[in-house]
Amino acid sequence: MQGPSKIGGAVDSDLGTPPPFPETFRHRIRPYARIYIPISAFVFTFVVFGVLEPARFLTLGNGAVVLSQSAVLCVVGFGMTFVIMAGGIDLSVGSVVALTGIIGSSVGRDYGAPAGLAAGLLTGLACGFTNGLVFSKLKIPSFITTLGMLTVARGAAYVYSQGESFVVYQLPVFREIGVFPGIVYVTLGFFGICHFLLNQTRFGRHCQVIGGDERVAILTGVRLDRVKILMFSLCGFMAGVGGLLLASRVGAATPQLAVGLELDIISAVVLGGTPLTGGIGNVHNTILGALIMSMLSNGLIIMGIKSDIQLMIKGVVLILAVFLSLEREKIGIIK
Amino acid sequence: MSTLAEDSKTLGAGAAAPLVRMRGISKAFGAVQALRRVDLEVWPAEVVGLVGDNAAGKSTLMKILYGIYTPDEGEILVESKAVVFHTAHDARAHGIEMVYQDLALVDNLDIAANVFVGRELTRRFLGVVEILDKRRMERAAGQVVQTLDPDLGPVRRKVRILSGGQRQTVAIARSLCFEPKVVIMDEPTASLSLEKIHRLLELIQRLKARGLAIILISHRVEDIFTVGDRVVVLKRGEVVGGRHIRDTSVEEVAQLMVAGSPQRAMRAEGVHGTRG
Repeated sequence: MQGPSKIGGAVDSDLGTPPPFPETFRHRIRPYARIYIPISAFVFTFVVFGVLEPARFLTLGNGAVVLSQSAVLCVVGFGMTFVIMAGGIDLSVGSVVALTGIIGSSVGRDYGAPAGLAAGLLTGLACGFTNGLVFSKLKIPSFITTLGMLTVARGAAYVYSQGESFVVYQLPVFREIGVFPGIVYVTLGFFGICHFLLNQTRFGRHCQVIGGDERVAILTGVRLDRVKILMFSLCGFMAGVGGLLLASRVGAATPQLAVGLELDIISAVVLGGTPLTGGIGNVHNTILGALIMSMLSNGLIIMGIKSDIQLMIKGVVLILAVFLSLEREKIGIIK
Repeated sequence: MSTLAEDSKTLGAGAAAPLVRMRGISKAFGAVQALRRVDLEVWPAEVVGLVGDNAAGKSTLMKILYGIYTPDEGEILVESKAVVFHTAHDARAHGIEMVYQDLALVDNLDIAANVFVGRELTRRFLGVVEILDKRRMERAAGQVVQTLDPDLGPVRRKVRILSGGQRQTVAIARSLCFEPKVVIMDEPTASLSLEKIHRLLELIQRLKARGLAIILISHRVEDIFTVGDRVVVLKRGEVVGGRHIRDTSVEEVAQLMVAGSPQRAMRAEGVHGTRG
């Protein structure tokens, strides 16, 4: 074996030399790209809308709107970060947001707000737990498992609501506390919890190991199933939180709530710097990604871009984010 | 360390039971019979070489001992107690560690994290939550790594940037961190330079002096003759011979690998049952 090998790593590298890095341009810029792409994307979006629509985009009021819009993306994105970090994906979060919003608001209407909150959170948790169970025990790829849950949860939202929509009174967290709406503090609270879970606990470390190399996780005795069930449960729970926040912000829960939200959330997580190939990333990255995504929606709305065109733009952004971040040599074969 | 080494030596020599006894292990993958009624014993302070052609069943046997596969038949006794391993976690809890040929490291994590992967040290936070004790892991990993390779550098470096030999040091450090009784090494010399091979064989002797048992899977029969006490030859999933190194030759072992048969192995001697 002569020269740098593109596939191997440790095979011929024991001559005191560092392992042969495939010296492609993309490979060399990646460590920097992971830090600078999210920041540049953030600055770029900000500057573009700032220049095009300074009068309406660059106001404090609009800043607060962007922040509270990003809250749902953030909260659900935190949960999603664990799943993507571990190399999986959860496509069901949009539907779970809708289902929890509806169950939360209907129970809340009949039995009071605390019961509604509890019911919503439990619904999210149950959906996530089911995802984790199906994924780990039946060994179905997370992509298909959660695609199934996407349809099931959406259908359940229609069945439960029977086409009705529930009026939701705003939760007190939407009042402003100091400069920011209260929802920002709620988001920061969940950020703290998720950051702690990912970086300080064995569970978080094992998500990283599974995403880094699942085979190593098996060989070193990581309890795969437990970690997988836990991480999907967490993601479902956070989708539950997101559902309650969204229903409360919008003022109504309908079964059409949050259609396609999963793609915005995946974009936010990936744009922030947690590649779909897993193993790297962090929850604070997701905040940046969520801010970019909500700034994008907000700016496009302000500029009067039609919603169908917005969809197209967001699709392109998702592809772009994945293109820039994917570690292709890690998965080897792209299917 | 010398007193400890002497203690374990006498302990090893006087031990009445093997550390590990695998009895009648069979394993099939679909139609392929990977192992057929294989027996293997490992005593304290003993280096056992496991040799055989490709597909002889060496790795499968070791993966069973390490809890990755469960055997279809047969039993495993650790210090005379029957055990059932469902995952590597169970095997590690019984003091059995394995260093894989490809080392099984996570590139994105640092050295300390790789040393403790799967068995992270934790401490209580605010009395209730268990959190990673990163400082203790870094210190412990640093100490073990230091004894193996003083030049490896800080344990917060990502494994991605290490050379092949350094990566192996990290993998070996992982296997030594929890006071193991048995360390399985799968082709540890396969990707090493000659100089590094000597260092590794020295390390194996040091571990043996501390009372550890080492199972060495290797294509390089000469390595097993340098450090081994006993060699077990597998062929097509069956034991075709077991010899004490001092009673055999490289030629005989090579002969067994090529032409050995299970019947001859049983006639050979009571090598499995008793220490010579």
